[in-house]
Amino acid sequence: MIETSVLVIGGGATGMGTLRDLCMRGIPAILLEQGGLAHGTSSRFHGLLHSGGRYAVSDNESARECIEENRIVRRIARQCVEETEGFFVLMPQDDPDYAEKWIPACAKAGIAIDEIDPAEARRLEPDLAPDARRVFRIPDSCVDGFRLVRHNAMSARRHGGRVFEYHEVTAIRHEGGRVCGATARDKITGETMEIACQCIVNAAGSWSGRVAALAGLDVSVSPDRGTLIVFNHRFTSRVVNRLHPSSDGDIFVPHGSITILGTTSTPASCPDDIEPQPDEVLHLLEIGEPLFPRLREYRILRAFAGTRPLYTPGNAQGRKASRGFHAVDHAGEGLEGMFSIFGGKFTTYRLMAERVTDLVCTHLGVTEPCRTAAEPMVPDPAPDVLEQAARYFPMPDLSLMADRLGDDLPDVLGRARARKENKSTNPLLCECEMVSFAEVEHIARDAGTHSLTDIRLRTRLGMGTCQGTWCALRTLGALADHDIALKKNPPEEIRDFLQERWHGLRPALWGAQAREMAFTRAVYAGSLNIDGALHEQEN
Amino acid sequence: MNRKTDVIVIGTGLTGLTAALAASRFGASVRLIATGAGALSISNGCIDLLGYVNGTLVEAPFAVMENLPANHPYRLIGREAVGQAMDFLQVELKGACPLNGAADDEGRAVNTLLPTVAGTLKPSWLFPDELDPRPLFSAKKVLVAGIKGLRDCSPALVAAGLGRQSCLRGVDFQKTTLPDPFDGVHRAVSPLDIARFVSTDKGLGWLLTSLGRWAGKTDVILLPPVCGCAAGGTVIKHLRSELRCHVEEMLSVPPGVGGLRLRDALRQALHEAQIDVIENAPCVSAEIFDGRCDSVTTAGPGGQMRHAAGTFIVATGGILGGGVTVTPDEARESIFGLPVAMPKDILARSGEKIFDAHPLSRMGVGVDASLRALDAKGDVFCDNVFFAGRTLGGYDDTAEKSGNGVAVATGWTAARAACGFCHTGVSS
Repeated sequence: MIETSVLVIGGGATGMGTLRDLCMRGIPAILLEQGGLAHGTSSRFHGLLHSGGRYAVSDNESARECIEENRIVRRIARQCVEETEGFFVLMPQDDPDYAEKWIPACAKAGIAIDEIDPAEARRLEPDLAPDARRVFRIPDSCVDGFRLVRHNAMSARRHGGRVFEYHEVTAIRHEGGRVCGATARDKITGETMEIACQCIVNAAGSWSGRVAALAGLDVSVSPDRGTLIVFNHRFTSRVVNRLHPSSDGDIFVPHGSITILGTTSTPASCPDDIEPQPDEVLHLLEIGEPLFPRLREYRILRAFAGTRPLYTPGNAQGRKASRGFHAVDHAGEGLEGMFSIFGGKFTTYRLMAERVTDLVCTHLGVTEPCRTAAEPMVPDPAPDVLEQAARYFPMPDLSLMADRLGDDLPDVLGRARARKENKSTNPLLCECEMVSFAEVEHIARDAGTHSLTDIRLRTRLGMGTCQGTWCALRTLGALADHDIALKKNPPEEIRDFLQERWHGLRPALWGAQAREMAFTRAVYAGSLNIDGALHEQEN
Repeated sequence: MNRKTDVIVIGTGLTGLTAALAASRFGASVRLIATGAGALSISNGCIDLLGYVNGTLVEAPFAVMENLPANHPYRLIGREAVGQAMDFLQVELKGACPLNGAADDEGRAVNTLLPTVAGTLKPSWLFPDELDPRPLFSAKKVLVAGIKGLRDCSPALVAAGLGRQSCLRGVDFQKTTLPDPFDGVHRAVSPLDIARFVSTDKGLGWLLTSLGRWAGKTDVILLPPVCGCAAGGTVIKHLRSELRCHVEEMLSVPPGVGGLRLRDALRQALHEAQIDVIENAPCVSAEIFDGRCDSVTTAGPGGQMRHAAGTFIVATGGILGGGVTVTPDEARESIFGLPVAMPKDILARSGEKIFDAHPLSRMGVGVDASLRALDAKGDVFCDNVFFAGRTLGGYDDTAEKSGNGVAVATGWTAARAACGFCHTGVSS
């Protein structure tokens, strides 16, 4: 039995932000996540830190929240954000009157925009459509959702929070109209965990309807599928939006060496409905093509989908449903100590966490103010630490790694230094994302790591242009050399690792993607006979 | 260029090289046109004939060929042609790159299993001396050697994987990591870098010294493919005699040291046969009149060039090699634009699991028994154009482990058909 004051359900940005906020206000809290951290929508979106421009006309209040939170997140999560700025581009087929509504709406929301000559825009982004009519600069940024969640967790842990991954809540207990605890199942071991608590925050995103049902509550959350495409090139250095009312496939977001195009919007049958479909991929290409006319020539790395947790009282659907959020105290429905945070956007995750934490504080009689907007989540490493590390770590890898690792940096640097001192190598296992063995070892020795896929999620290993073709074997080899075992045997690990990627390639299996896939099969099946090894295991 | 050639071969993978050499031996004047390096550069240089049928391991490929689907290349050309092609390759490479096969206790030719750097075994048919696995299966002590700095070969992974194989039960696997031949200077070392080094006296000295303490103390040493760049097994024979044990290379990931050795040996044979080779010349169009192909046009660094010939062999590869191009709507053979049958529904082109039998992995140009493309009605598309290798449909090289086997068998068969056509005006 674990005792705590507040149980947060959901390890996405909002839940983790809530855990951090609670802990920073001195409230004992734990968080349960059914998968790995950010396994839901927080890692399944375009990674845009909205300036608010997209919502300026349709929902000016949301737009204002976006720009305010955009500034805060850039400050407290420097390591998770690339400040690329963005363009809003008016194309010949777009309504020029919309721009006239949009300009004052941005001013009203407090979003600084700056119109530039389309020729200047083309100079800055040479692949942009030559027929763009008007171009506006705007403070959009790119954010690594997965890393942001992890860094929130690090900060929460530093303030006493505890996080349990792969734990699914199976029951919520209450007595006399008050929440008193919950039961969870460890999905890896199958063991049951009992939690005693005074409050529960349901921050389960698309799954929050299911969690509410465990407490006997009926809430209106509809999962809405959004499909996106990842391209193998960074063909734009800026976020590029179409200047027209929000639509599918009109935002391009660069991340590292890739670009993401999204997003479709279709009502989903359930929150796990995340298999991207070929028609969605083709639809995105068609809609994205006006902004980047050479779009179809770029190699697609994969397609992926997530579900937005749209809060839909009164049955609004798709883009008509509000992108705003709602913090709810369920005392009004007869259950004290139960809170939910519904809807919203990744960009405003911190504000959502603050609002629901405020409700919890009122309930518990805590008067500490929220400090999450003031304190960076992960402190910058001391300059002398980096300077020393540069002696045994190549610089470009080091800065990427330092940003990625946050609190885990000292341990990884310690491992790298020890390897240098005893004259062993620290091989670069993933050349696309610059992941060295020391980092993989640190993650792999963590009790929460079970598979190559877990390592991928925490290091970005295999997320780059080769999509795991080179690093899968190499990483298993390095782990074997150091007696670190994963849950399954190597052929199965390779299969599972490549399988993740296969899901994302199947709906886009043509052109260069089909060729790349043929290459991966030639290596792993043709040369290494991984498929045959799996057959023989079964027999 | 107007000098007319009997046979033009397009493609420089194992298929194209075999076809060119065979056509020359059949008496034709031959020109080979190549775009890139060919898929041998990512191959291990063994000839996989047929390792699996529907996921079941094959012991004797020729015995099960008749059970393959009717449109499989081996069924189309017949078992006899496959055997003749294998014999042809072995005879041609006898001096420069001898290829051997395994036999069972009764002397019957069978597949053998080659160890890989993933700790798996792969069925194969013919292998160069460097890959000869036969002593492995009677060894008591086996040393798996990795090399410091070479990331793609982990002795622990190999030893653990091979240790799980039933045919190697009871073998005592030992592991060692040889010192970094480049002293930490290079960050991304491939087996090819080391093989190039080992081709020098200094490099060979490094390898012998590094392995010296194991001399006579183990039955087999397994190495990544680093034993020199040249075909013919000179380095490996030297190692075996100096180290007083069997030394053998494992199959590895690209770059394909073994495939490059084989390619060099074949290119040398082409050179000696005075076959014209034109490199960096992507074929951009074909000129067809009255059901006959007159010429193909290449766009090389020197501009466009027309190549006229009596017959053409297309060995441009499949999806990977660029011989088949796939769009969301259709698939086509890349030079002649022949339609390639493919499910309309994009998700129906592949299975849900990566190693499933994907329709996409089996597709290619449909041909008759003399390897001429057939149109939708079943009529021959062009009398004098023959297709070979991965451009063909009806087989999945990666799942079957039949890639190089089909390459040699159909390359040779296409050459025979093309030369028959040259001499008589009809294909055999």
